[in-house]
Amino acid sequence: MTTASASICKTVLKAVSETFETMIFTQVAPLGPAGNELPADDKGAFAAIPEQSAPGSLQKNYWTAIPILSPLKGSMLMEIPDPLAIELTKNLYGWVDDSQITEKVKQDALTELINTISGRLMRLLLPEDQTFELGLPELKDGPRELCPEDVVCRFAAAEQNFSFILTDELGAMDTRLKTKD
Amino acid sequence: MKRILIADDSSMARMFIKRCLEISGFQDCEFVEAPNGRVAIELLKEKPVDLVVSDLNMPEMNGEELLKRIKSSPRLHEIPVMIITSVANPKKVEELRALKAFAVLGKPISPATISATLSALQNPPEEKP
Repeated sequence: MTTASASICKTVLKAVSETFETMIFTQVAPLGPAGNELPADDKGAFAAIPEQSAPGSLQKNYWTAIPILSPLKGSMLMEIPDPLAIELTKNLYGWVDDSQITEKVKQDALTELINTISGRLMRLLLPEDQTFELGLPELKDGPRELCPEDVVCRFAAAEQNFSFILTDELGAMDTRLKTKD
Repeated sequence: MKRILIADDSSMARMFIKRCLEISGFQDCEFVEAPNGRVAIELLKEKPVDLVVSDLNMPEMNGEELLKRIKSSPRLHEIPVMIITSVANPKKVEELRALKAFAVLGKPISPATISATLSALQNPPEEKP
């Protein structure tokens, strides 16, 4: 993991935290390479590769993606395990139990979350006078193959781990653009 | 009773905006919902509303086109339009204000943000003589 990608992950954490705390009153913590929460004085290190479900694992993971159309081209993806998807959806709707959660409702919640996070993240990364264009968020069938340039940031919320990934030109983006702390 | 149109392609986002509006004191309003600008225009043709809250990034007709159509319509142009979008940086806000958006808010929104914004609509600053 390069210093630049660690710095981007710090900014991703800010965007994810603001979104989760505002919309679903859920706190987010960064994870270290082994999936352990980082000590308080080292919040800048992040894993390079996401923790994949164990082979044969029955746990379903959701992959949501949003294309970034300009000024850089790439995608932002979020991998979320099903139990966390259920928890986030419940919090979003203010529901106490899972009985009202349908697959459609869950997918809608996840796509809106990545839409909000990616917009917030682009605002944090780009200069104020730089407009940007996002595509429509969508649910993916499964993980895409990771490229060396991809930046993978790993977090935990509601006692579940999840990943946020920046691909293509976004993965190569460094702090020369702008990073607000 | 006030009538508010919420246009967003995400049903979750429409629910969230509606809930923020209700918490902000608009609980006695009638809410109508549209998944894109085209449907929003159809609904506005049927019955005008007191406020339009719209996303920008929607399929079929986006929020910017919806804003332009409302502001160019002799019948609808006085309806305040509030844009809530994930792409609201200062440059975009300036562009949308030039198109006569009443307010432009960046996602994620909160009831407090909506409340502060709409209080300006309900209590506009008095013009100096």
